[in-house]
Amino acid sequence: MKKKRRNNFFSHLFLLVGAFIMIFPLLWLLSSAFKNNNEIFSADFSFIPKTITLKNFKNGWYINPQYTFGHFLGNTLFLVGSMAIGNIISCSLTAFAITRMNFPLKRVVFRLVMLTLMVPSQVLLIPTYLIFSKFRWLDTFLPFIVPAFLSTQSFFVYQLIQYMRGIPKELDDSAKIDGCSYFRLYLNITLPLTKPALISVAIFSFVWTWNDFLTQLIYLNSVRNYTVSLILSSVVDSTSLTNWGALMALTLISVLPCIIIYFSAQRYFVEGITTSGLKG
Amino acid sequence: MKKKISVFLCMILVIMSMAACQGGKPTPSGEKEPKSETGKTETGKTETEKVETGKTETQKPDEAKPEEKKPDAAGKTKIEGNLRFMWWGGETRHKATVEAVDTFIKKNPDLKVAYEYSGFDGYFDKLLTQMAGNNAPDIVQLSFAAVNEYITRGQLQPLNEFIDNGTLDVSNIDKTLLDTYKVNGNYYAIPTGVNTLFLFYNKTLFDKYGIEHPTTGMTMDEVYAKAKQITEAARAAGDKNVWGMSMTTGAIETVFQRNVIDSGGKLWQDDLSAAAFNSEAGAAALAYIKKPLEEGYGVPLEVSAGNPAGVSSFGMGYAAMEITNSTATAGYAASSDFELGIALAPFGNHHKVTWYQPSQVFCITSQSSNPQAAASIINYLINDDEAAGILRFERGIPANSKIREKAKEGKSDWEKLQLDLVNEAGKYTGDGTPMGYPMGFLEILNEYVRQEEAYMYGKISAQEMLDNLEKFANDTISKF
Amino acid sequence: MKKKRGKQKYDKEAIFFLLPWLLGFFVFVIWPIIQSFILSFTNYDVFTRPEFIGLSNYKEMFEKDRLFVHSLGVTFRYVLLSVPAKVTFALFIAMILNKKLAGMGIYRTIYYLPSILGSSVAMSITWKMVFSHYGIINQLLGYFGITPIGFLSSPDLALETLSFISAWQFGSAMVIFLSALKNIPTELYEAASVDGAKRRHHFIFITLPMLSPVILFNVIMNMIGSFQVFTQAYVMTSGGPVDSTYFYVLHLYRSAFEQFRMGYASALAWVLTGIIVIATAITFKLSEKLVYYEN
Repeated sequence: MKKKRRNNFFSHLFLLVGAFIMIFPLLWLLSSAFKNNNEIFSADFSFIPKTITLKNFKNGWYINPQYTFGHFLGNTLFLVGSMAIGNIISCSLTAFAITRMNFPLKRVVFRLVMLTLMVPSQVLLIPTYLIFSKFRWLDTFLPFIVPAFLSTQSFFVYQLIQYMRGIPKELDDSAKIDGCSYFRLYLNITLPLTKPALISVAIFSFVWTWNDFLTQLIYLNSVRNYTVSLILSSVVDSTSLTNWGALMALTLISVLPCIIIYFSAQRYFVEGITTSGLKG
Repeated sequence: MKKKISVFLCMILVIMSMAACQGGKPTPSGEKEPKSETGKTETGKTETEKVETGKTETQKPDEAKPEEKKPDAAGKTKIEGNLRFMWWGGETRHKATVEAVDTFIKKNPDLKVAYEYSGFDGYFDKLLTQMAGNNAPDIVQLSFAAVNEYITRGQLQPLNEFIDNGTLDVSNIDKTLLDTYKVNGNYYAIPTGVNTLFLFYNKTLFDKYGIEHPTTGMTMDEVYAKAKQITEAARAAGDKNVWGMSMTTGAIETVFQRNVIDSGGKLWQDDLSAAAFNSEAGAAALAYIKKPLEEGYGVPLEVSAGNPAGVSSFGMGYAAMEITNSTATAGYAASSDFELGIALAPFGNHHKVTWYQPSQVFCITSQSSNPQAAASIINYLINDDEAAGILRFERGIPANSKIREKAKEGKSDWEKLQLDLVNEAGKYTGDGTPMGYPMGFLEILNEYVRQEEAYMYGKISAQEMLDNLEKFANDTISKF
Repeated sequence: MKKKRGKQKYDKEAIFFLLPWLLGFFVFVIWPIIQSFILSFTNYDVFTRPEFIGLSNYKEMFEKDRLFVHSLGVTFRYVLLSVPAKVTFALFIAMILNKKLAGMGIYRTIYYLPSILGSSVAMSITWKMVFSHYGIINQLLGYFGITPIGFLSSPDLALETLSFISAWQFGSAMVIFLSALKNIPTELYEAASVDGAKRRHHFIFITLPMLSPVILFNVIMNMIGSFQVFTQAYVMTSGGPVDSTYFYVLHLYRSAFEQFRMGYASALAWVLTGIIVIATAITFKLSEKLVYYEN
């Protein structure tokens, strides 16, 4: 017993040190955001700023001559929000059809969904760029939103299929006997039961889009349409001295939404990873 | 409980995204643009534009014409339309340019301009991407070295029409500068300003170690000697974090070219059809560039490359001197913790080689549907006193000689000093004039940066670098 | 409605449910795949009409394109560095967390946190500052008398640093391991203890075999992801110094969106796909004997 306790003590110690390393960059970011510009790189570092300043946030918020940082947060939230909604609606429709309905070539469709999961995004990158350029959708949010509403994120379809398979079919049958149409069935019975998986889809979609950079870099041009990722990378500018304090403040603001979502909906993250990762 | 929280969050998300659809900012008059964003381009566009024009509706367009002295043709046409204007730069340039163009818009309420600005990194990729997507802006800022390539690709409009009809007044622009962009009798680019190489130095450090300040007119060897001196003084005082000078890298058209010329060579064949730097002079130039590193008074690459982007070793006070573009003055003057000194970049050891060159140019793309209005904006930016007052030296010392004359009054000390130095530089431009730029120069420049890095890190020899670069340059030029 | 076999009855409404997917699949998946395949045999550069040039693009890669070969090497090294590190970290931490210690939930939350932030621009900026010459890590090392290390600025170290940063995001793999560990029946351990097995034998003879399919899964998923690494290199090092972090996708991006060699870049994308498929197949093959499947 004594041995076990000592063992646990070491485990805790180890985990604590590990945890500190894990969040170290975030702690550094947090403290730097409140420091004066010249203290950020000063030789004597401490986590507690010598003088706590909110100036960085003010400077950062107004760093763009035309728009406040709120504008870019708004853009990103709009993008992320509409993509999450699109993914929830379209992917759940597809998953519902595959798990609950009979139609020709059903197995083929399922295989194709799986196949899409395997196609590297790089293969699709150039032709889709050319398609959007033909549609004249460049520099709009359409290249993000439209595909989201068309169930192209196979990962989410797969995740929902896995979850819906676990919902007993008896419920459907009794509903069908009551004369429930498939649409009512989908809306009133299946969706409510799939809620945890839907939330998981929503937050994964949120986090991934929020952190995405490459596609935003390619599709969005004008500053008006910039997302948080794009404005951050444009603030890190090589032709003039940058206001580092402000950049740190903005970086901090831009990781906060993900952290908040994460802490409030942790369970669904775990759920999402395990259902899609293991049950397959 | 957790479930409720997440549902709540999702709802917030939806609500917030709906708020975002409504297009962000209220107009200055306080009213909110009611249009909801359905994701379509056009709606997005008009939003901001309306914001910009909303505040100025009461002004009469006529009395607001910027150029009183301009010929009638332009004075009477109403400037209107939707334009897009793209440039790169830092925070201060963005602010100044937006303010200047906004002022112009105020006087021409029918004009709407959308701004697209970014840092230098990735700027040209983005521009090409847009051109390829048939989505190019109307006015673009280019580097002088890139112009040829865009002309070859057929992406720029000749500006003669607008010069002839009086929209674009180039009478005060240095003729040689302007003619750099004359292709087959057509003008394609308007220089915004000139810059030259400066020697920036940290007065505080020099005083601390009791070493005489560098001056204009020194040779490269003399500057290196000073760098060595101050490094030794710092080491003697136990300071390991000070070096004599920071390395100027990636500067094929300035530092490398100047060294090549100084050693009696040249970068290109006279007709710009092939590389000519693979010579003894080229090798000598490269060796000279690396010398401070090898002799221990240049800031090691492991130090400078590890700086966050945009932070230079000189700006942080670790290098006592730096040779770089004069446009850096404002940034250093505003942000450094030490006392800044500037001089003209040192001359070559054999020739008094120095020169000034256009900092950037404005061009109108061939995809522009309203080049007339675009030309009038460019005209305003380069000729108008008010614009000059806002833009100051953000794009180098103004190319317009009248504006430059006027700039002497009322500018800050730094700006006066810059003006004097650039005028001084003008005196020495005769000895070893830089050459033009071959086709595909941007690609060659990228390869130079890459090869030079390998050379500086000691991964390849100077001769290997010259061989590789020569082959790449000739391949690239022959592609066009 | 009469039917021979129950399964023959089709639901006509299915088409409405499948409509979005069908549209998306044909417009944004199948069509681009076909186009990309065709493009890879052309010299399409967006500005001029594409010409069919046969296998030239593929030949060029292996014969002329120095950077292709180089980027491939860099990417392979990155995969070999980051994937084992990530999976080992994940397994190790998951094992400790599985001990049902107090506060386990909090630890899990913290250890998973980096994976949420991923390789976003914000984290890339932060890392770059943390690892810079005057950054906090070098300051800390300075207290121990170690001269500053060019984590991201030395061509011999930058790739290792990026691999470490990627290993920092071992969260998803860890969560998967955790739930797999919970699924191992405790009877197995109990039976083994009765037979006198030591604790470390538990790990080698019970835990590892039971986890092997999950380990394989994590290895493959992370491998696929690592082959496609982009943002960190783009934001933190832009491929440097001296191309030491010049990843494959960076080369693809530059070919496509800097040089506008869309045809060539499409060919690059297909080669990458081929490499990923082959690497996955080899991993499966190699693991055949090592992986223990129930049933």
